[in-house]
Amino acid sequence: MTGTLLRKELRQHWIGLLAVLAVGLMSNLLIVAASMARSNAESPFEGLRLFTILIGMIGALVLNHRLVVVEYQARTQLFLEALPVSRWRMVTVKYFLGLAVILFLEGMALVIACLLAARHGDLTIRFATIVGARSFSTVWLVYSFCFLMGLTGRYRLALYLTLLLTGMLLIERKAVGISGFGPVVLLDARFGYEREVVPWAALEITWLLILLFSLLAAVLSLIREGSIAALLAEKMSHREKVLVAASICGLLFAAATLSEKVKKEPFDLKHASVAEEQGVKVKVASGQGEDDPVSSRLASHVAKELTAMREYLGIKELPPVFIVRRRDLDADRYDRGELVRSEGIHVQANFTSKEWQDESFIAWLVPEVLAIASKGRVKHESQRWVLDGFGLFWVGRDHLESALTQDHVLALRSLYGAQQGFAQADLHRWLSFRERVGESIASAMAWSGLKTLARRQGSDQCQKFLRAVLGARQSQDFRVLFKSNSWEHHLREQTKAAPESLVLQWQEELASARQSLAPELAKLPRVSGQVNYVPLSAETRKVKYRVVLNPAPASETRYSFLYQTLSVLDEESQPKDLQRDQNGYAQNAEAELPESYARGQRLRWTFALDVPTLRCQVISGYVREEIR
Amino acid sequence: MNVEPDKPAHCESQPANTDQDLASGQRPVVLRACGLKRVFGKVSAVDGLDLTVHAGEIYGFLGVNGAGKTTAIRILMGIIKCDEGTLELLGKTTRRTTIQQKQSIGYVSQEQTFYPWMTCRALGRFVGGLYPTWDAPEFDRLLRVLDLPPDRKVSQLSGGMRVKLALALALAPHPALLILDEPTSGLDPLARRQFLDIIQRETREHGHTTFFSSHIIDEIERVADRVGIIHRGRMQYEGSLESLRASVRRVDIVTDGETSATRESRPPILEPNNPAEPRTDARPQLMLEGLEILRDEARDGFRSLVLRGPSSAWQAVGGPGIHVQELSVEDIFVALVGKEAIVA
Repeated sequence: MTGTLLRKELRQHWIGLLAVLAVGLMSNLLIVAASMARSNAESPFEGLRLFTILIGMIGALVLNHRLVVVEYQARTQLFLEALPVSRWRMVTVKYFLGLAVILFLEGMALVIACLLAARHGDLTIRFATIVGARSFSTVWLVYSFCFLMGLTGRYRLALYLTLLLTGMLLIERKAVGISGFGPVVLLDARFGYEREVVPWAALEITWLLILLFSLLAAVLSLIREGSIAALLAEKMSHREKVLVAASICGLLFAAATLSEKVKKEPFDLKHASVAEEQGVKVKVASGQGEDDPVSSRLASHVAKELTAMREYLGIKELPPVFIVRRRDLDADRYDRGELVRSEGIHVQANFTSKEWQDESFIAWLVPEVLAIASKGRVKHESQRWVLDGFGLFWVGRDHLESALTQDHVLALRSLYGAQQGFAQADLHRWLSFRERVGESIASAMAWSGLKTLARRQGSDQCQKFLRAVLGARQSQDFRVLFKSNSWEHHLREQTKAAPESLVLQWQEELASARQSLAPELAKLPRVSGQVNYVPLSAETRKVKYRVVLNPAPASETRYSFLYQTLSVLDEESQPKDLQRDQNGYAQNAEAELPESYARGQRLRWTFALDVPTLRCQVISGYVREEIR
Repeated sequence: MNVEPDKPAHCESQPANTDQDLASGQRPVVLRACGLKRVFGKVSAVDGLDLTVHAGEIYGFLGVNGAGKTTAIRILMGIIKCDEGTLELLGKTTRRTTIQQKQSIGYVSQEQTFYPWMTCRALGRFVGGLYPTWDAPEFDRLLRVLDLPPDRKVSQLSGGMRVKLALALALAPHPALLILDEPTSGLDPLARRQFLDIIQRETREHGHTTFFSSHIIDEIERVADRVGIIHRGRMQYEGSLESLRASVRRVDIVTDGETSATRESRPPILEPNNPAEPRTDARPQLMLEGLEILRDEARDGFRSLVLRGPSSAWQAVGGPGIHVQELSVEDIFVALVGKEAIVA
């Protein structure tokens, strides 16, 4: 009987099922090819994650439309009911046939991803099982949900839309946080990297939801002898159509109004000095009242700088900036606070310190403001170096076309960064480059690139390029998908210069600077070192490290071992997440961390040294590795 | 003659196919429903329905639209379950028809919702997979007999052809019971006549037990051996058409100008026969013992009554001023299903 039903479903839907399989396979191959072309550093399972999100969802929708909606809309289930077939068997065959197809598709994608991962030699059975559990569970969940929605008949599209809009509204309002929600956790950034820890909590929630949706689908299809599902599948009356359309329009309108209101609610700083220019607002609070001269001066200076930058980049409006004094910070350390429900940038800084330098602060603030103003777009790796270099570039804008060596310290920093080699590929993998040389050195490198552009192509061409990369308004709709956002594209379009020639010119400028600064550069210490994981037991490890400074410092020098445990391998870490173990080089070139670690945990570490000549920290380069 | 519908208690005490039944020459019972009830919200669609179908007969299930025929059939088919009552189907007592029992039933529904993309032959293959007794050559024969093109898609069949296809699908597994739920509704007169001819021929030739539901009296008169008349979910009559005609008659009584307005103020002309108190009234008098009034209308100069009762009760009916007339099945049906509205 089941076989007969199965054959019927296969005969009825073979084209649809084959189409889903073919499109799924093609998409998977495309995703894999794109992933391989993009970067070898990316986990092969990243493609599987994308496939699971996209094809899992679309496949589940299509399959359930074919298997459930078509049957109930044509009312052919009434014919089946009159035959010697139980209703539950009819529904079960549909459910499991669709599920088998979608899981087969997912399984195929998993196998391909595993084969790719095996080529890199980093595949274990446990890793593959974890990835499999994550992907299969989420696909099954989406499938169960779509099956349930398919049984809601004529209301399904309205329900999908309502759920989507409500979800978006709640997420935007931060009323619900979905980042910790089981199925979302399963497909988060750890998907392709988590090798050891099974996300049991997330899996359990997902499985519970699968059970819930499946039970609800069973209830809906079987309750009152299937008459509820049959009634729901009937076509909408004209009155219902009007009501549903009006409800959705109302919801959209409410969402838009609410969203508008949210944006109109900026953060406010009480008892602060205010400086306001066209499209720029700066508030500075020192705790000394609104008329504090230090705050007023800083507010005015920052507002002028930001206004000039706004005009230079052709940006209509910048987010308001709120600066609060924090005495415990060093003068060259700035901390950004999170404004969850408000617009603007909240900065904590010790601007009353004697060592305070406006230029340094502006160089730090400018990229932060641009990142917020562009809603994070300019932080994309494809153009990140431009953002990183722009802060220093901006504060040195009065001598744009001068030689690099005119900014002695910055030139030294960039030469220091370029010593280990620098190529165009580093611009593509800018985040990796930053991890290799450190933020300050990377920013100086980027600065030297922008300086080269200004010197070789002229200030106007440079401005055009910067406007296109940092200032242009990006489409908010699907058109953004068809526009290239890489710096190379903007360079060619705005200056007609080839990226390769800019890199060559850049290297020439660095070589030229190196000639005059070589003696000083040779004296700068290089930091290197190694970490050993010493077993304390089968599952615990002690971390021992050894640093090497070359040339060895003449006087007592303190170095830092910066480290953090990672939940993922491939995410950008924040400085505040780092822990520091500081020692004197002469006494303790070798040391160990006080705490012990579990085998399988991941550690991100580097050695760091403050170099007075460079007025910044240099590092040995971050290493991300598993504790073995 | 079975005038009163069976009661549930009676059903329980008398299972199908007792030795007594068989010994008395009655055909075995294929289907017996006892006290079936089904309520949808506040509406009682089937309200204590009892019926009995014997082997080899064509049972006409007659009722107006909304009488509960389709609900009763859906209960018999196991598509929906009854709230109360039992079924005795093919010798097995159950609350709900099982899949195994359904495999012994052929069913033609009121509305044909076949898969439009299937051909007649493909539909036969699919349905055949669900019946262990499916006879593929018989299905092919039926397609030929019913003049159905095997390779034509269902979507290209006319309404009449779809009904015939449904009949072929229902007959091919040689069912012990064939249930037809208003199969001819929506068919033109020619197609209807053709369909009824096929039903009669197939059932007579192959001895199928057929349960034929309709609201068209002509159809039932034409094909049914026994009828059940359902109204408001209850069986109003079950038995042969001859018995029905013999049990329900119209009686006209000369009343010398009695009208409905004056009827209450004058001495009754209808009362039970009571020899202890003989009437002195000279007007015609009707003895009602054993008779049930289905309809009572006052007309100019006489009263017109439709009465129901066994043959024995009718023997005492007559006399001066009293005229007894036989009724058509249609008149009887109208009297039976309309009695609550008419009888005071």
